[in-house]
Amino acid sequence: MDADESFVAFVSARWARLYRVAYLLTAEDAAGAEDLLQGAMEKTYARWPRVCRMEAPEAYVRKMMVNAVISARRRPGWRLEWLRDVVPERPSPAEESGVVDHALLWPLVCALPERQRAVVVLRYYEGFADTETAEMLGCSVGTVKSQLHDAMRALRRGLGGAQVGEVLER
Amino acid sequence: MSLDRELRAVLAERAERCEVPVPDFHALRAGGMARRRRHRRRSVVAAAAAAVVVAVGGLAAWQAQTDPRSDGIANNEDRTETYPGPYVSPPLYWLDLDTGERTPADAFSTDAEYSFSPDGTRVACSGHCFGNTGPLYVADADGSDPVELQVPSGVDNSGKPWDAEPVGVKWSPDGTTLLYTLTTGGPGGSNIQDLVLHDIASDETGPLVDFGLQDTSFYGLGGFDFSPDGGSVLYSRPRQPAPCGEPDPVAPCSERTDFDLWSVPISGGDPTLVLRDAGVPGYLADGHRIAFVEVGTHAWNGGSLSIAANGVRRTLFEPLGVVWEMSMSPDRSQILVLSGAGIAVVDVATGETSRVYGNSAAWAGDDRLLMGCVPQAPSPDEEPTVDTCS
Repeated sequence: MDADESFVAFVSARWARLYRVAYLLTAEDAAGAEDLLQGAMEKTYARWPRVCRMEAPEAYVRKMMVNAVISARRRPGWRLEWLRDVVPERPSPAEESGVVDHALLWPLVCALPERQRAVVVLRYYEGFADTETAEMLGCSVGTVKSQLHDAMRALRRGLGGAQVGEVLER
Repeated sequence: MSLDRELRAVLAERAERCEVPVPDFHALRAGGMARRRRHRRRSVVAAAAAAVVVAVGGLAAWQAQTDPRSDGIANNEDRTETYPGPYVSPPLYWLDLDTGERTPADAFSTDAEYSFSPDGTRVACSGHCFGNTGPLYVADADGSDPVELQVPSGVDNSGKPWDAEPVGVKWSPDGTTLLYTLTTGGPGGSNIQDLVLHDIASDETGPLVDFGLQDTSFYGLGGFDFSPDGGSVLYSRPRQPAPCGEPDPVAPCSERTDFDLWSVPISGGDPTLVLRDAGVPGYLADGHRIAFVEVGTHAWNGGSLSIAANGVRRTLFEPLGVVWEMSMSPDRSQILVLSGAGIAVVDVATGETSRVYGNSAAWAGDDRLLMGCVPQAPSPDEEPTVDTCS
């Protein structure tokens, strides 16, 4: 199998799984997820002779995607488009006490800062341990735990709610 | 309830719900080959530049890189626009900081960037502005009577033009001139971004500073501001090559880049180093003291908000999250800080801080913000909600 064939085989085998990770990392932005994965795969192809010798090329692609999401250009002001094919669904309060409404929980995950959302996705979708997540993000295990703690705190508080524009503290 | 269990369930649900596109192998190969060629070209350019630096000396190279007379703006070759469908803007509001009163700003949308003139009568808008799609408009403060301005096009490494977009628009104190940088907005790659002066009345532009390849004016802790008298511009730029956000086994990118503050007369001339290890600057009203963000643990991470005068730095405000934007109020008595912890307004004299729920804001008067909350942007760590964001 030559390099090109092995790359095609790699993409064919891993594309769907990696796309789903990109889909979660980009907070359900289908076009953004495809761009993210496409870009990572292009870079992988450009370096395939080296990457294919790695123990886990999939981890290499995943790491590129995670870092690209986290380190995206600092965006000024509110030039922070939330692009959707359809009008977003509106969350509704949980009717059954003690049960988290997924329609309420998911937008809260989307609203997390990119790094916190990445930690949540890597932990709860990919099933990575803190050490693996830390290696992927290029940070300490303590930072991962801190990010996860902040994310969980934000999600729990988000199940309550506040008003946009509300002055929280003066 | 177990939030852990529910998170696993909701992530799995969402991931399984998505429709996985078929990989385009042709595009992957073509894109990969283009990246390979680009990398080789950059390597050659870098090697040549290194030789020049050695031969001519670091100072001469630095002056050449920041020569305001130079022109040429390049972007990555694979810029793509991704607009999958109609844009649904979360609501924006006018917020009176004195009373806390909030009123809808219906003419404004989150798929644009706004900057209000110092007297509050006009607004510059880039992006999708008041029913128009164009790089830059100036309108009355309520969005009426928008007038399109012509933004200089960029040129990529191969000489091809691309439609550049203005970013970080600032008004001169007399309201006659805009200052901004240009960006491609495309995924990956590196951009060249200049500081551009734009005369509103004549619709003429001219480059103020050319940062050269790799260095970028709005990455990390980049930022800029007019002096109160309008005679010069203060800006931050990375000291080392701009950081890259991805692992690269062939040519590793710098994980950390320090930032320094520079000043340049708007009439042109050599930039002057003002302050080291600082980013996202703004002048206070006296034109002497400078507000800035201390360089944090890495290039994407702003530390505390500080004020410097005569080489003495003092901390004014410790933000709860990573700072990505800071701007002075029109009278320069307050500082708006946008960070991962949301919106904060800091009084320059006292350091007293008001925190506002939301994550996007701009000054629209001395005590008035245009603000909102946009999902997928860094959100406040405390008390987030989605009911008015989606």
